[in-house]
Amino acid sequence: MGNERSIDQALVERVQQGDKKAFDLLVLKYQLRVSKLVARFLRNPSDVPDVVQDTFIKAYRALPNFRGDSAFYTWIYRIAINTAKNHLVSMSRKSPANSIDVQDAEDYGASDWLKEYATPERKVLADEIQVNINQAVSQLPPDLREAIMLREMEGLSYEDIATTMDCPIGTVRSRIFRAREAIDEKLEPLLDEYSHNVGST
Amino acid sequence: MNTNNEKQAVEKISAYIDDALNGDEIESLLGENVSAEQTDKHFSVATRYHMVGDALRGELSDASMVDVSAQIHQALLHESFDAVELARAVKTSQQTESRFDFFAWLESFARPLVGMAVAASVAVLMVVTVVQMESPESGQQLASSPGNLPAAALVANKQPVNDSLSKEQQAAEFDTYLAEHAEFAAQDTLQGRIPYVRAVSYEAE
Repeated sequence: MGNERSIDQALVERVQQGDKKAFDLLVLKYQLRVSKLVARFLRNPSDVPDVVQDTFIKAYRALPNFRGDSAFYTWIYRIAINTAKNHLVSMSRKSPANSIDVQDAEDYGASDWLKEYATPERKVLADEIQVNINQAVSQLPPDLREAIMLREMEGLSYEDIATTMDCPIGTVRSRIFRAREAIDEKLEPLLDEYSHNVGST
Repeated sequence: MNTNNEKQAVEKISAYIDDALNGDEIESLLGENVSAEQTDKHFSVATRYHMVGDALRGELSDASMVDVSAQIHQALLHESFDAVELARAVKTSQQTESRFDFFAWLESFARPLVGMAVAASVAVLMVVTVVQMESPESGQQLASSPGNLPAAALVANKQPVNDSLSKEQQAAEFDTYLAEHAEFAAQDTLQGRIPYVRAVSYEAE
């Protein structure tokens, strides 16, 4: 995505001017990527949320010193790696034998330890989510299914999808949103039920 | 925010996580007046949309289900946020950057200049050396130097040390010299003297 860096920089400047909402958007965008990165470092999956939270809070506090020399995600990934390492030290554990750099971590595929789950219930939940999403996608109208598949599986930009599907970019955006909305209708109750069960136990 | 606006906001979030929002739309998304409940909902929606992508790519993991955006939001609400301090830090940072730019510019200007000066000095030195070597005047040597005379000429010009001695006296001195330096001779049997053989032949008539 060509404008990713400029959008991030604009959001960073908004945060530096005191707009916390802009930081919320940065969290929305990079939370998953930071979580995956941190999960590669930590042996215990249940530690991941705490380290991710620490990472973003440290980033927020350090943002006045961020001058935009590097991309925001590169900068926050470095913070995430340092936070994960510090967490390992504080937990008196050995860091993984293989030293992972930012770019390496990005390039790595989903490894075995990334597939570990904090609890057996989370593993069951993940399996259920996978099944439900696959079912929801198969029930989508063809144009919505094609749009979401081109975006998520092929990683095409909205412009490329518009060219492929021979329709305006606005239509692509709408189709992808409607596809997500339809899938989310199956996903949200499942996650709510899980949260309710976890809360009750 | 009514249902229609809420739906538009969620659609913008959908586009935002795909980097498909332009600057104006980002501004409008930031400018919307949303409640804390709606903010939490937006966080959850974005997390689930990411989850959908991971599931479709077969990358669903425990990390895909991590959602701490609401906790981060809450933690930063209570963060003492000194806007004045922040602005000062940004200003200092910018000043440092501008000063650094000047030195960087000066360095970028001076570095090639110094390089060119060194290269020119080496070139001049080489030219001068070559010219001096090829010049006929370069044959003039210092008085104490043997110069460019060949070895044969040196030998030819060499004068005897003492011409006044007769051949017998010279031979005697030479014998004395050899006797005194016998210890340095390679052959101890002949005491350093060059062995010679006197061959006598008789012609038969």
